[in-house]
Amino acid sequence: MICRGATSLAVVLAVGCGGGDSADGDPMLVLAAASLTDAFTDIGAAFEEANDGVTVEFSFGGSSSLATQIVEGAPAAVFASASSTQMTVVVDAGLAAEPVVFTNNLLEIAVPPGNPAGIATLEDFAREDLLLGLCAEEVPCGTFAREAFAAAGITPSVDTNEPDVRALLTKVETGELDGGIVYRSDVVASGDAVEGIVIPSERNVVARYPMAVLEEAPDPETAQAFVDFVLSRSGQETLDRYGFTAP
Amino acid sequence: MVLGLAAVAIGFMALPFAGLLGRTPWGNLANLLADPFVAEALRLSVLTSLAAMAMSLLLGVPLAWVLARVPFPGRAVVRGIILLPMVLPPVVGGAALLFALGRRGLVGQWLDERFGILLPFSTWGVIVAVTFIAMPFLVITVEAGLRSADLRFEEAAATLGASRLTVLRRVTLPMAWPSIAAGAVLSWARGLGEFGASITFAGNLKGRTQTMPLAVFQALESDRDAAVAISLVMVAVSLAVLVALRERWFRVA
Amino acid sequence: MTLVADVALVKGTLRLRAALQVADGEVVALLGPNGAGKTTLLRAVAGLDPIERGVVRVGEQVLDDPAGDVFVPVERRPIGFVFQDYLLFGHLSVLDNVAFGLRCHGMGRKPAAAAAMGWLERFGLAAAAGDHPRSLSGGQAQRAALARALAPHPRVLLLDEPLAALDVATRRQVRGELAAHLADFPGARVLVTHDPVEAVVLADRIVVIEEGQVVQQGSAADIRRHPRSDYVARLVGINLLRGRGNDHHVLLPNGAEVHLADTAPASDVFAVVRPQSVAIHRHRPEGTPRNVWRLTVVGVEGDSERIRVEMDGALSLVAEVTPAALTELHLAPGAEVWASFKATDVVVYPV
Repeated sequence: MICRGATSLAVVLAVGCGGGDSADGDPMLVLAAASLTDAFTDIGAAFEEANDGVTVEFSFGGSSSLATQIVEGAPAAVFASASSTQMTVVVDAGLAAEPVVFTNNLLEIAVPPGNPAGIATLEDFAREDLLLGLCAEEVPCGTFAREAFAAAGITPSVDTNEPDVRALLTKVETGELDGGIVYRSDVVASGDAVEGIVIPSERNVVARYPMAVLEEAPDPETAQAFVDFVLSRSGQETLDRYGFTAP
Repeated sequence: MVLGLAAVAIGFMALPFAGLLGRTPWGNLANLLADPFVAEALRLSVLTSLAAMAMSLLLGVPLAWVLARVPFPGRAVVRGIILLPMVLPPVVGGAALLFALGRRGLVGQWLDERFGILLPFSTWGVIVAVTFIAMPFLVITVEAGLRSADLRFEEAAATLGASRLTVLRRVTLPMAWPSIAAGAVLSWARGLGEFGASITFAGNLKGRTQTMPLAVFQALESDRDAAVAISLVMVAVSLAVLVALRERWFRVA
Repeated sequence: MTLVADVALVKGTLRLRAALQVADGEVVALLGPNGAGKTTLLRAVAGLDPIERGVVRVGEQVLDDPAGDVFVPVERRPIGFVFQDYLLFGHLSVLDNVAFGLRCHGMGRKPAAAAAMGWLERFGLAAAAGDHPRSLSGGQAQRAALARALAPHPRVLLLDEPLAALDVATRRQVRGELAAHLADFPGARVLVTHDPVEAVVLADRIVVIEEGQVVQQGSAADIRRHPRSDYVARLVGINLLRGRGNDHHVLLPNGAEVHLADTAPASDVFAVVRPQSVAIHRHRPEGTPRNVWRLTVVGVEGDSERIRVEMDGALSLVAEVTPAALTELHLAPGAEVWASFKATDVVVYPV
């Protein structure tokens, strides 16, 4: 069972995602941050091709929801988080060890096509006449965006704190918001639906994505093989194609 | 047999709330609830759910009357459209609202240009979203009430000299009062818990659009104890109102 | 005439085509079997069922005239209506029910309440003014409904089966009260009933309606003497045979002959035989009676004094016998008997 876009009460979902104890041939469940959806789907297909008889299933969701699911006992093999905080939650619970950073994601300003409000820099986020959105403070993209504003000494005039990047992006795509801070990978994944405005690297915040094999993994070897595959040249190229940067 | 199944039903419905109580950080409860963002969310929830109930009454009762009493072609289709928000995921409703009433929406664009009214990201936006989701509950309840009413009471009123409006005001609506009250409570209860349409259409900002369900959701990302505490407040408030109103409104009727 | 109604309308399977005229101070009972159209006629007069052809007039005021494109809506007709189950508003007190019509006619809250209280006193309901209609007894509810209908001073009062909602025990008492209250009302009154006793006690004139048409009207005595349909005959408890007069006989449609003492007109006639005149025998009677029929008992009903025996065969007859005769003759449904009556006991009149 795949719980795609798991953004509802984690406790409820943990029950819904119960895959049972794995026997040979059962798919391997990977819990991955929502921002990895496209890249990991490609990588998963390549991994299956390279390893006969192995199937990978993904459950994409907010990193914190995924962490809660793992703590509540979701029978997953691998956790790929968009934030070290959520990985720490899992590690502290004794459910994973030795996470590795497998990719980085940079922040980028997303604006509707044509950039009607003429947003150019982070300073524009202080303009009260614009409708601007961020991710909620509790989710990584929101945390990082606030870090960036704090470092730049800017107090953003925020009109909404969206629960996840996807929700924020939708509101930018439809032009309801004049701009929002998302990941570069999200801008790439959106194609022509939004325009990205690069934030200079000295003002940018790097989101480090850690991943780890989970203690409860039914087949730790295959799980480790998947982690290695993501770190391999092929995996990194795929991530790069989707706007991520190598660590 | 029947009693057994009823007991299973009660258990099934009550168990999750027992789970909630089990997870409640009782020792820290006062502290968690003292956080101003809880009070702010509670205030917004009460405000928006009551405003949405008022809107539902204002628009939903006339609509229910038309659906129950005025035959017109396509009535079934209209009723279907009205009830759609009950079956669609609320997020879809929120997105649909955005396409209609958003800044670039069909009507929203005109509202913005003509009157400078922007519904998304405003408290009014929350009220609109909650009304959209909650009003169908009032409409079906009141329509059912009106349909089961004995039309001869209205005829009796007419023979006493009551105009159509007087009949509506002094006979039809008072006699339909139990169903109107039930519908209002149902729609209010549904509105209080509204999440998907609100966050999709009106966003999430403390003090402006962040109602209790949004606060719970956000707290769940960071502090589960706080989330449970807020949920507990919602459960307590809803239960108190539902029990109290049921006693008052449905016993007499 | 205060009320003139000449209405034609189709409602479901009912085709109503009936005329009715009622003078001030007169009480007319619409009598007929269920589904005959009595209530529909009443509703047409009130404007609850619009007519397709004809006219409804109260005094000089035309209320409904499809040809002249006139239709006065229900609420503007000077007509009071008492419904079969009274339809008192459950969300209002008894006093507010009675004041309802007055308020609708623009009277202020206080004067309306005072006037309503006057009506309640008149109907002996003053003590129940603040009560919930549901707490009233059947008779009280009927009086409250009557007071409510009369309060706005209508010129015409219509009552649909005013006693049907009551149990048999209270019906007789309430019937008496109703008669007294109706007598106080100066306008035209029309009441619908399927109970001939009610019609006789309450009305000055009876209009019999069957299958949407007026089949007969007149005083109770007229109708008793000369019933013009099987239904009426059965109501007044006599045998009504319809056939063709032929010298000293009436020829029934099925070929049977009824012998008469006198000659009958050579036309369609009614032949009436009172049940008391019909004798029942176990064996074929000897002697004078020439009207003798072999019949089957189909029904037996009655009390300790008089018993009505219904028989069917070449013709339908009702006989009235004593309980002793019942036992003696073993009269139970299915029994084969001989029924007879004398030629001198047959009354004939033209259709």
